[in-house]
Amino acid sequence: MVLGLRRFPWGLLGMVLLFLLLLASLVLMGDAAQNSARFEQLFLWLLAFHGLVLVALGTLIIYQFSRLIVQYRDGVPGSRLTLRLVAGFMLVAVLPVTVVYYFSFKFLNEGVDSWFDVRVEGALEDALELSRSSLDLRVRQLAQETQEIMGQLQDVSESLVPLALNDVRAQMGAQELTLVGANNRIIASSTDSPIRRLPSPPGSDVLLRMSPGQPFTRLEPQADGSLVIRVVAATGNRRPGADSRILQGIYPVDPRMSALAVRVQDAFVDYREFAYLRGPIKQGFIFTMSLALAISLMAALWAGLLVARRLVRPVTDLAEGTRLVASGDYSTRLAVSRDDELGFLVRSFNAMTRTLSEARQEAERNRRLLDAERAYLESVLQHLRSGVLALDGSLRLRTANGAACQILECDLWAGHNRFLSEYDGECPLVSQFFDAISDALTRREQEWSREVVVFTRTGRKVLMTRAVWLPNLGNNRGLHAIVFDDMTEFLRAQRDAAWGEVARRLAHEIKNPLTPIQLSAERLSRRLGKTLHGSDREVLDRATQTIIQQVEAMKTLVNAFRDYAQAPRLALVPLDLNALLRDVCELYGGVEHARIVLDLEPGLPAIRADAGRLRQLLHNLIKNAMEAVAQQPAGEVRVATRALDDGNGRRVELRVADNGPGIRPEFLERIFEPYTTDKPRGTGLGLAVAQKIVEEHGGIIECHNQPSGEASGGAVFVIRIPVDHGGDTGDVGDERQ
Amino acid sequence: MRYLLAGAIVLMLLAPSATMAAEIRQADHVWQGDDRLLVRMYLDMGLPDVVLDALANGVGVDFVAEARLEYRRWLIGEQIVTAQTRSVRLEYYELSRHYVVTDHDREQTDLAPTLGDALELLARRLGRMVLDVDRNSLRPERDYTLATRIQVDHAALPLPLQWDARLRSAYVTRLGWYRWSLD
Repeated sequence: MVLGLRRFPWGLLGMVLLFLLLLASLVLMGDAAQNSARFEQLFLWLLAFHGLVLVALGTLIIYQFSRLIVQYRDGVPGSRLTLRLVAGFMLVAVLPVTVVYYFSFKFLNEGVDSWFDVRVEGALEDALELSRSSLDLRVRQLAQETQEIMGQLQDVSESLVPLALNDVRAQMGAQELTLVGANNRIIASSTDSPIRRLPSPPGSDVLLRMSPGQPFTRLEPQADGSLVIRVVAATGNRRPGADSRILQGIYPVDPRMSALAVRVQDAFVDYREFAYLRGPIKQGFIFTMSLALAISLMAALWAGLLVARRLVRPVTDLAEGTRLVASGDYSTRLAVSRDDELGFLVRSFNAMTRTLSEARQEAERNRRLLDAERAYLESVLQHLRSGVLALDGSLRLRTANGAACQILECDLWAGHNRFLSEYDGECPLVSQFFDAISDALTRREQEWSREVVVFTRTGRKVLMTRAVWLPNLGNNRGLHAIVFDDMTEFLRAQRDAAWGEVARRLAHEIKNPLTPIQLSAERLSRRLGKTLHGSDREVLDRATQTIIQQVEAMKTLVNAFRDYAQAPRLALVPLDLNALLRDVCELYGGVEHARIVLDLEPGLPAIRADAGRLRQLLHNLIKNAMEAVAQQPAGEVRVATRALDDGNGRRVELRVADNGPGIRPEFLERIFEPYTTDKPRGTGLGLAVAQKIVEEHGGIIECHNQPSGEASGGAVFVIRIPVDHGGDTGDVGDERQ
Repeated sequence: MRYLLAGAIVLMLLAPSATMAAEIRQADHVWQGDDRLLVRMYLDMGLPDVVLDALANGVGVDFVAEARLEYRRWLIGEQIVTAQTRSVRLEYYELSRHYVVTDHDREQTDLAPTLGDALELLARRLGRMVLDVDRNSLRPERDYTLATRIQVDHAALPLPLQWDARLRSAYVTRLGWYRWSLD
C-alpha cells in the first residue's frame, strides 16, 4: 500500500485563482474609486463579488476548521499538528492585520479631520464675504445708476431712445441695455457686441420680483466663468394702461475681480463640500480598507489552512504509516513528493519499512519452519508409545504427549504449566510418578534412568523412565525431558512366555516318566502283594497307593500346565453369553454356602467365541468366586453382563463379583500369572488360563477389589469381549495360540 | 466585518423600495406633427434631507428625467420603441446666493433666489421631453405605453457621496415608472 500519492493541488490552484481574482477586483475597485462613472458601473458588481468571496472564504474556513476539529477529536494523525500550525498562522495573520487596521482606522479618522481647520474655513468665509461685499457694492452702484438712467430715459421719445441708450451704454460700460415698454415690448436695445445675442426682455420671474422704486439686481455667472450684473429698473408708474418702461442693464464685472471672486467662491465651495464629504470619505476609506483587510485576512486564513495541510500531509502520512507498521502492516510505503528534509524522512521511512518487511518475512519463514518442526515433533510425540514429559527448571509441566496421559491415566494437557506436585489427588499416578523421580529432578542430574513402579486400581505399572536435563532450553531456565515406557505388559508377556516354556517342558519332561512310575508301582503291588503278609503287605500297599495317587496328582498338574501352554484350536461361532452363563450357573445351584445372583442385560449382542473354552473360563471364574466366599456367612457371587461402547468398539462386559475378603494387594498385580495363588490346594493356573482364554478371544480381563465403602466388597473380575459383527465362523485357533 | 458587509448588501437590496420626496402628479402627451411626441410631466418636486444638506454644502445634484415609449410582449416583457433622457443640474451659487438650474441639453442656465423657485424651475425643465417617433410606424394592434420617471444621477455625485448613496437608503432618489397609455 502506498500512502500520500501525489494528487492534483486543487486547493493551491484555487488559492492562486482566488488571489488573481481578488487582485483584479481590487485594481478595478481602485480604478472605480477614481472614476465616478466606473464606480457607478462596477460598484454593485464589485461589492457583490467581494461579498461572495467573503462568504465563500468564510464557508471554506468554517468547513476546514470544523473538519479539522472533528479530526482532532477523532485523533486523526496529523490533525493536532495542523491545528497548531493553523493557530500559529492565525496568530501571525490576525495580529498584524489587527494592528494595521487599528492604526489605519485611527489615522483615517484623525488624519482626515486634520485636513480641516476652522481658521481656514473662517478665512474662506471671510474672503467670500469680502467678494460678496465688493460685488454688492458694485451691484448697488449699478442699480443706482441704472435707476438714474431710467429717470433720464423716461421722457425721451421712442425715436431717440436708441441713440440715448447707445450713449449711456458706452458711458457706463454696460454689456447690454434694453428698454422695454408695455407688454414687455422692446423699445430699444444697445449691446457692446451685435453678434453676441439678441436682446431679451426681463423674464417673468424678474418682473414678479420687482418692486416700485426698487430696481431688481442679480449677479449672474456666465458659461465662460465670468460674472455679469443684471439690473432691471422701472418707472414709478406701472399701473395698467399707463406708459410704463423698464430698463434692463447687463453689466460685466471687472474680469480681474470676477476671476478673484469666482476663485474665492470655488475655493470656499470646494472646502465646504470637502468638509461635508468628510464623513463619507472616511466611511468609504474605512469600508474599502475593512473589505480589503477582511478578504486578505480570510484569504490568509484559508491559505494558512491549505499550507498547513500541505506541510503536515507528509507528517500525517508518516504518522499513518507508522501506525500501520505498528499494527503489523509492513507493506506500507509513502509516496516521495519532496526533495527537502521531509522527503528524506519519507525515503528513510520507506527504507525502514522495506527492511522490516524483509525481516518479518524471514521471521515468518523461520516461524513456519519452526511450526512445521514443532508439529512434526508433536506428531511424533503423539504417536510414540512412550510417554514424554517436558518440565521446566521449576518443575512445571510444559509438554506431555498422549502416551504419557494414557500411561499416567491423567489429562495432563488440561494442567499445562502446572507443577507436577499439584496433581496430587486428581491424578494419583502422576503424584506417585513425581514422588519417585523428584529427587533426580531436583538434583538436576544430567542424565538418568530408573524403573518406577506405580500402583493403580487394577494392579501396578512398571514404568521404565529415562530423563535428561537440558539447561539451555526453555528460555534458559532449563528443561527436563522425561521419557517413560509402560513395561507392565512387556514384563507380563515375558513371564507368560517363560511360564509357557516351563509348562511345555513340564508336560514333556515330567509327564512321560509318570506312566512307567505308575505302572511300576502297580506291578510292585501286584507282584509283591502276593508274597507279603501282615504289616509288610500294608506298608507295600500304602506306599504303592501313595505313589499312584501322587502320580495321578502330578498328571493332573501336568495336564493343567499343558492346557495352559498349548491351547486347543478355537471354533469361533456367534454365542449368546447370557445363555451360556445361565447354563454354567445352573451347575452351581446346589451349593449351600453361597448363592449366585444373575444380572444379565436383555438383548445382549452375540459374541464370537469358542463355547467350550468360554465355558472353561466361566467355570474358572465362578469356581474361584465361590471358593472366595466359602467362609462368608452369606456368600454371594454376582454375575452381570452389559453391552458397552468404550471408544474401541462395541463390547460385551461380564462382571463376576463376590463379597469375599478380596485379593491381597501383593497378589493383585500378579493375579493372572501362573502358579500364583493364596489357596492351600490351588494349582495357581486357573486365572492364568482364564486370562489366556480371554486374550484368545481378543478381549481383556481386569481384576480389582471393590472399594471398601461398597456394600458387597470382595473381588471383581471384569471381562470385555468384542461383539460379533457377523463375520465368518470358523476355526481360528492358529491365530489365537 | 462580515456582518457589516452582509448588512450593507441587504440594505442595497432593500433600497429600491425607498423614493425621494417628489411625485409625478400627472403626465400626458401631445403629438407635434407625426414624428414628435411631447411628453409632459407635472411634478411636485421635493428632495430628501440628505440631498438638501448636500446642496446646502455646495454639492451640485444632477437630476435625470427619462421618458420612453414601449409595448409589452408576452414572455419577453417591455419592448422599448424610443426613449429620451434629460439632465438638469441644481446647485447653489454662493456669490449671488441663488440656486442655479442648468439644463445640459439646452445649455440653459436659470437662477432662482429660493429653493422653491429652483425646484419649480427644475420641475419645469425636467417635465418636458420630446420623443422622436414616427406615428405611422406604430402598429394599431399593439398597446403602446408611455413611461416616465426622474431620479438623482448618482454617477454625477462626488465619489464619497456615491459610497454613501449606495450604502444609505436616504440617498436613493429614484421614482418608480409612471405609465399611461398612448391611446
